[in-house]
Amino acid sequence: MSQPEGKVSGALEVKFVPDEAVLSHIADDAGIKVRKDKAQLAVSVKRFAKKLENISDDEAQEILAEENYVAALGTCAQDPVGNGSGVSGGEVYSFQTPKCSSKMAELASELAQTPGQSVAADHFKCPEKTAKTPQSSKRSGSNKVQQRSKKKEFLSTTPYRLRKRLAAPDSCLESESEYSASCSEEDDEEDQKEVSTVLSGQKTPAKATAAATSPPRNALAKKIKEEKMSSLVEEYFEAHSSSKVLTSNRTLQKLQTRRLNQKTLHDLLKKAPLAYAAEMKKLSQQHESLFSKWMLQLHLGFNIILYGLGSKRDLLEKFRTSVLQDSAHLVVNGYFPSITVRSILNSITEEVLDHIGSFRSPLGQLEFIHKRFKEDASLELYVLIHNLDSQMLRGERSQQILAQLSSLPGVYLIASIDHINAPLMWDQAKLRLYNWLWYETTTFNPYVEETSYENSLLGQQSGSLALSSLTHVLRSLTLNARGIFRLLARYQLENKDNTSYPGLSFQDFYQQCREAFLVNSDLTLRAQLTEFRDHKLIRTKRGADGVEYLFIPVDDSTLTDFLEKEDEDV
Amino acid sequence: MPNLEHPAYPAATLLHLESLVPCRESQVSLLLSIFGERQQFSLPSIFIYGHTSSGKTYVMQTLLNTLQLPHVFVNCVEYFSSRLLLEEILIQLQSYSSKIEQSSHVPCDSLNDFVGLFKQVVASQELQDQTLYIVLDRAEQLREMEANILPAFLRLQELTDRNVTVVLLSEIVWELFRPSIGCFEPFTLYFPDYSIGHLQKILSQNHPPEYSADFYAAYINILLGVFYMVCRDLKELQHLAVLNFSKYCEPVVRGEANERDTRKLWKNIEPHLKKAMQTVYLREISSSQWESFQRGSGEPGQLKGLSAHTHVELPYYSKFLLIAAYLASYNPVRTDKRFFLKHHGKIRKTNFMKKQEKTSNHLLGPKPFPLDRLLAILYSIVDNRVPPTANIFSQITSLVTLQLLSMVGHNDQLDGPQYKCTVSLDFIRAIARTVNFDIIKYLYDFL
Repeated sequence: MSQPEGKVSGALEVKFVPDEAVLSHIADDAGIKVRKDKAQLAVSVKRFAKKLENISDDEAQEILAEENYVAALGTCAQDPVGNGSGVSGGEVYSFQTPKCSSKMAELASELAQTPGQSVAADHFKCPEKTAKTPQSSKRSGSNKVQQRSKKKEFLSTTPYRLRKRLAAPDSCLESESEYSASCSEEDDEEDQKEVSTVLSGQKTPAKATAAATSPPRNALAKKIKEEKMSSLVEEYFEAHSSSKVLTSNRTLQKLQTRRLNQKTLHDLLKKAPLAYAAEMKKLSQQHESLFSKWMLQLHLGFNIILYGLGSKRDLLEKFRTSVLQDSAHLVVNGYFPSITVRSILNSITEEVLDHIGSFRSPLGQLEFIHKRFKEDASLELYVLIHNLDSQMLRGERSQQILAQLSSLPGVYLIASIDHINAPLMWDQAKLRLYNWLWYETTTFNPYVEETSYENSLLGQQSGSLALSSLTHVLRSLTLNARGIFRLLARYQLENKDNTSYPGLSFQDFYQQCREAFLVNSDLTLRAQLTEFRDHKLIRTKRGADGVEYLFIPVDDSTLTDFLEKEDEDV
Repeated sequence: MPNLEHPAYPAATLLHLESLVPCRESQVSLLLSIFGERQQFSLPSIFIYGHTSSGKTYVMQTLLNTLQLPHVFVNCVEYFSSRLLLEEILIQLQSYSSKIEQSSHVPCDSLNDFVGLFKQVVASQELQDQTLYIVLDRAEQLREMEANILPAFLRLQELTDRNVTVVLLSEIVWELFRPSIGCFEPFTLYFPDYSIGHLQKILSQNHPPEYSADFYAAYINILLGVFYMVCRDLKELQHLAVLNFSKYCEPVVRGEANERDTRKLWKNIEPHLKKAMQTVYLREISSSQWESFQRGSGEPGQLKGLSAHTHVELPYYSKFLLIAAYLASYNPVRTDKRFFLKHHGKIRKTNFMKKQEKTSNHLLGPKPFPLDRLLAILYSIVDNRVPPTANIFSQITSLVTLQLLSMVGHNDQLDGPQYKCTVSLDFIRAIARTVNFDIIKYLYDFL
């Protein structure tokens, strides 16, 4: 822990933070941030209120308080690395994505500017926090002074809950002051604990930080763990109690640096060093020792599912190369954006079972596979699915088919999941078919392959749209907009054999949309088309006769799959 | 003096026909005049509509059968695709023309084939010089088939150039049939509802032979007095009349009353009929159960209906999940803090809520809620610590499969799914009672 350093070196010495970052953040955030991003602030304030129980609200002690921030920051920055349980509920439930993405952008640009300097990713969180906290503390401090000017004797013994409440910038402050008195009587036990720390804090502030942060955690670890859930719940309700939706107006467009394309971004990220290579290697070796166990359990009729932090692709790949060398196996890359269940079934029937011909429906195909496996007991097939919970495979029908496939006697399935809500995919009926054995395989490996297909905000997009991004974009549109796009897609598929097909002219398209009651005027359709163009869903071309022609720059098979999937949903 | 007159048919047949279709004289005579003589060309299409059990199918069938007109009768629900429908019509036609032996099955994929094959079949001797009737019962199903089927049937006379009349029977009005591009307008004919007098006349027509007609008519009178308010469906009333007649006769059989003692009989049957309205009429208990109960003379209240079996055995956490879902569905989001935080302070109902939230949420139905809120409420109402395991999550999905919850939107199953709770208050109260949870205390509507 870094409290000793904080104490010795004084208020302004921060070790791992580049100065210019701090300065820039103080400059741009100072005034605006406090007022605007109330929700975000609430989270951070709460967190710090927890850590710094002992901050007194006297104006005179503010310097001391600032000193503690640095110390507390040290603990805070180390927390996520040291023990995962330190993550507070605010981080889980609040919307922090815009902040995150901007941070990533900063990281990338920083790396681009100074390639030699090796700044670890997690340290980068610090400057923003240092910049923000002094203000937040001042705010909460002044709040307290306002609130409790009449009852000074409570100053040092205010209960934690009350302080948290006061620290949160709530809109109805009047009502709070009504019940504050009753509250303070209620949580006696909490009071006791805090009184002791606060008292010691009065004497030696720097030491008190240590007392407030680490020792109670060790001593009362059990209790805290018990209360963690309830506090998470409370924080959820606190965060959702205000109906105001806060949207940050800091967009990537405001970023001064140019946008990188996918490749340079990839290369830059590759240069970032891996922090705990040796430990991670040990971890993966530990997982590899389970391989023979997995094999046994697969043969006993179970299927293996791997969960945990980090990419499990390498582990499965290792499993494949070391164990499944001599047996028929099928590797399914679920993260691949254009994968469908039909393609999985096709590769089984065509390549494993050597069947030539097409099937009417996936169910018929499944029936055929079932029959073949029933007839021939010697058939064995190992199916490895990276990311069973990917965008393309998470649908109800896909999971049903995969579950039925996995329940066949000759088929052994080993899969990995990453989504936090992945178990929502399976109800009891599907779980019975899958017969999972859950293995936690936390590898901490970066998701390199898995995220390489995602259109990240950072990079510029390249090439034509994949099926998953097509559905992703269209899902956020209105029903009418989807209808318009579907109309165009249908028309394009009807004309796919026609090589001289120029696209659909705007007038014709307008006519068709009118007939289907999708638009009411020329302008609405134009606005809609502009939106499509922004998302690169359509492209326009001016024909020889000066008429605008519209077409979708996506290959026909993807478009067919898309329409099929849409029809399934609707 | 018969009401029906037609030069083409013998009077005896018409008289017989009249006795078969009571209270439908005007409709039948109109139809007869439309049909005309056999060799005459009739309307290309007739559209007959009317309420449930107003005798559309029955009148049409008896009319065609008694007059022995060549006809094809097809139920469109039974033959649900156009291919099945067209083939069925051809098969029935083949039986008319005896020349072609019950030959091979003729495949008929499209309407084009149908027209060709139809001409071929109708060209036979028996069908050549008389009107052929094609009756399509439940014609509303035609709208679900290909777009060209309905317009083609309406113009079949023109397309095939044969003497054919298509009759469409339906419960919905013609305006809902009309295609957007228009079609040949059929002659529409309305079959009105039976009045109480008509119903009485029809119901008392076939009385059991062992009792007098007046006795049975009095019974029908009582039956209609009880049921006419809720039910004017002839079939339902007929069924109820059959079911309850044995109970009505009981005093006569036992000798406690004679057939003239209408008041005594009425006193005996009236509460019984009221009970029947609450049970048999709503299909709470089956007809056979009702009959066996009448024979065994047990108390009808003892029979448990279908709706009494609302209790479902669920796992512990599923119960709490369902309770949490119910709370999330029927409580406004703004009140969450008040119910699920321990020290929320005092928030008054009146000035706290918006205007629309003051109206009962139970009247407006369940509102969708996100998964996060469900879990937050679950953690807050369960006393001990709930680990968010895969089992909890799959129980949520299982509740969706069991249709106790329903998923809203179907946008994405994993990223931010939204649910609705679809169970009733009684159901959830029963469940809450089993886990000792006072749900009424947590519902905003009941504050």
